[in-house]
Amino acid sequence: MPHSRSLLRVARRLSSDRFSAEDIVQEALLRAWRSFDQFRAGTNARAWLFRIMINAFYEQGRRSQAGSVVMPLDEAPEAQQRPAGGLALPEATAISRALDALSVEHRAVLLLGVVEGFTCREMAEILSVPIGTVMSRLSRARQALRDQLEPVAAGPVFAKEAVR
Amino acid sequence: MNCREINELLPLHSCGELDPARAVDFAAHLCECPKCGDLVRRQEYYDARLREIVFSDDESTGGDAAADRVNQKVRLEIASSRVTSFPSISSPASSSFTSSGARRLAAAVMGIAALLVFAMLGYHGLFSTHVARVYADAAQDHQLEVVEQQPRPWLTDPEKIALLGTRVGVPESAVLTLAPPNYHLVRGKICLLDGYAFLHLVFSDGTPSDGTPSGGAHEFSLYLRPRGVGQLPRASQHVAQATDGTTIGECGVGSDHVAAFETPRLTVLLVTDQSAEAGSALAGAISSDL
Repeated sequence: MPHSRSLLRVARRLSSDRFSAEDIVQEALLRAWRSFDQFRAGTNARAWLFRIMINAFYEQGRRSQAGSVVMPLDEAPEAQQRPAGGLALPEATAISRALDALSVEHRAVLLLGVVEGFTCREMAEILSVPIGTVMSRLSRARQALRDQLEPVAAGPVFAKEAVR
Repeated sequence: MNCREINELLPLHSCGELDPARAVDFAAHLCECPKCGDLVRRQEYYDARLREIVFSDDESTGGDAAADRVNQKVRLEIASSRVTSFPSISSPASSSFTSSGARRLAAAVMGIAALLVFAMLGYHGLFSTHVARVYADAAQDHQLEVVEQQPRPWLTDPEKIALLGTRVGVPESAVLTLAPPNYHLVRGKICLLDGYAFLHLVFSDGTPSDGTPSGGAHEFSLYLRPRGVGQLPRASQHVAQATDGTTIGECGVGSDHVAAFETPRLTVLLVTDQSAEAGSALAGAISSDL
């Protein structure tokens, strides 16, 4: 299953913990297997898998909100390991925190477009939204990321020159 | 092209989707407008850093191992499902495959599909007999939690384990009276098999003092739940009779052997990576204890 790692990479950044992410990707791969007859030869298999994974993620979110998820009794959700904030945060931590602080919709387009390299047209199919929506989400997500980082960038870690 | 248009088209530019004519106008504006040029440079910088950070985080948090874990679970799940034929791929041209070229294309597509299915199932998935979901789940859980020793919050004190069992309806006395020959209880936790909560007990014939198996020690898993909470599926490949008359169903899942039986109070599954005979003997001994 060559795409499971990239599916997991995105799922981990979208969901609250790694166990949920693994469940989501497992569910997505099984759904892909079951509905393999719906895959159209010649279309983008990777985008098709990501679409299934994103749907599984949203469905899991709805089930969690409804309180119907059966949690193993011995496994509390993984604690969020977020370093304390501050102007002197290392750059990687600052960017990671800024990404986590974005809405799910904004995080999704950044992860799909910037990290995984999908085009706006492919993201529109994956997210089942018009391409114009993808473009505006991508612009707003990048703006929100910059808004969070640029006050930090003015500090000692992000010299202005670093972004030139 | 003005600054507003640059802002609107920036997502298409960064994804490489601008048509050639607009790409030229876009580049020309960036040369003339320092503000837009700066915006694009900052965006490209943050995009590059974001990619680097997410990939580096994936490496440092064991992304490869997690993918292997998920793939293994998926293979086991598929192996335990009722697969009667290869799924087919629907093609926009499937209804009009009349030319030999189209037929060759269809054959090639189906061949690729079959290879993909083979890769997804793996050798064991294709050639193993169907086993019910609860047995496949038990074997998978044993592989992940006991053989691979995934980090989980286990309880090691038998009395606390017995108390934990009451949370899923397993009487404390059932846990405390279990004494398979040469084995001792080393840890326990709750798990879900086929959607049902089971008390998962791990027994070892290794050194009991430190709770971890010594070199060459054998461990097996025992899953308990109250009888009557869902019927135990009859998907066993062999049926044996314990000395106390209990009927024990057995099946193989991958390299594991699963033995299952019911007492008047409990449904019991035993999973071991030892021989089927050893698993059967252990199940017989445990049925006598229960």
